[in-house]
Amino acid sequence: MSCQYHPGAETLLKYASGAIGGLHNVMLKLHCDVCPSCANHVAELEGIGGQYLNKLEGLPLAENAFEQLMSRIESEPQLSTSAGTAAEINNSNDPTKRTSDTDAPVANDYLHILEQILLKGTSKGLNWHWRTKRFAEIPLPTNDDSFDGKLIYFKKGMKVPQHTHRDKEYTLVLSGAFSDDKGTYRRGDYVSNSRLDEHAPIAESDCICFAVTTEPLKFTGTFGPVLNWFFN
Amino acid sequence: MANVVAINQYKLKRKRLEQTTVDQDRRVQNQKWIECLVKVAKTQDQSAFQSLFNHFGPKVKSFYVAHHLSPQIAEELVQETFISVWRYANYFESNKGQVSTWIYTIARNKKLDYFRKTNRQINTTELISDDIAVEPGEQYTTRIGEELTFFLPQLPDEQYEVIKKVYFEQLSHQKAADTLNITLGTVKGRIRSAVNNLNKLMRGGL
Ligand SMILES: [Zn+2]
Repeated sequence: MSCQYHPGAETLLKYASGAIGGLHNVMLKLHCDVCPSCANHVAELEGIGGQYLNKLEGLPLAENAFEQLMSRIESEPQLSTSAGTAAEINNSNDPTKRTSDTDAPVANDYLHILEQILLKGTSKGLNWHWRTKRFAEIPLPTNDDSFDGKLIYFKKGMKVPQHTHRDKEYTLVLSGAFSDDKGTYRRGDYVSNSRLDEHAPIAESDCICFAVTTEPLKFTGTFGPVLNWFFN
Repeated sequence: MANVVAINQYKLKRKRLEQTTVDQDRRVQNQKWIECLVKVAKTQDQSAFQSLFNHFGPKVKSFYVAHHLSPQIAEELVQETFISVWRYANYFESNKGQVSTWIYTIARNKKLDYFRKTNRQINTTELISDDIAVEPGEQYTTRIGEELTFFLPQLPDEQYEVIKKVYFEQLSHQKAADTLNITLGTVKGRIRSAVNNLNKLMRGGL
């Protein structure tokens, strides 16, 4: 089943042009993994980048640049990526889709874990921090201070605590579903905070979400004080 | 909105007539680069690879320098970009797409990767958010029966140009205004219209 909730055009433009990094980039990549429609939109927007590159006046490279390149290619061990094995997890080695190489910086470590949950439904072995009987989380620290991320686990029937108003906050449903009186958000759906304001959503089934915010989560509403205490 | 559609259709027809030869040239060019990539993927053909490098390498360097990286770092990232071109040539899907777009996406990702490794912030706020505070309809729901069509040809030329300058060339709004010889206000207005139109086009048409 395809996704129902998608990022808007400006977000896709920023993503396609490389203006979104860190965990938000990871989130958009994951959405595109399961949303053919957005994946196609991004591919079309990337064509603007291709046209830009095509028309750029080149700058001369170092004289021995090509020799240097070939000797690096020959000296660096080949990654064991035949097309077959790499294609297994949704082309996760595809250099046009992922943003980092084998010397994995932080955000890329998470990519694998998040992909496992989203694409294969596997979330075994994760070290959940239980905050209440029905609510757990795993903080995803990065070296990028502009975004802060978390994995959140809600058991069925758990009222998702209302968040405080904030500039930017995004949620991607990795498994399960939650809903409010405006709709139901399922696996792959990308939801921005403006949509979730006002109406405290409720988990329809055991639900794992990936949340990215510009600052640490602070909850208001009934659970507010308790949760804030746990979070801080 | 009916007017916009009519104007766009007219423009589309005109553009197609005028650009048939240009497109033809571009297709022939692209076909040549596709063949090079296929040779790299299938037979590790170094001379095909060198043709690609000689053509796109300097452009990729220029891209990094335009995005405020030093020539030294640009040169290093060109190397990394082409190491990936060599290794992952088999990922290029020759049935859909321009080689320049494929290389662009690799170069873009190397830049993001470099920023992450060096803990450098991507200066998005300066670029876009300061002026476009509202993103009308940040959120979209799928329409039933939605068809995949190319939407960019339906975007008015002047909006396309501004989008390209501001997002992809990452020019400041003022710089974009200067280059296009229009006012700052016009730049902002066109970005807003373009984003609005794209939101509509992406989710089922104007
Ligand atoms: Zn989508």
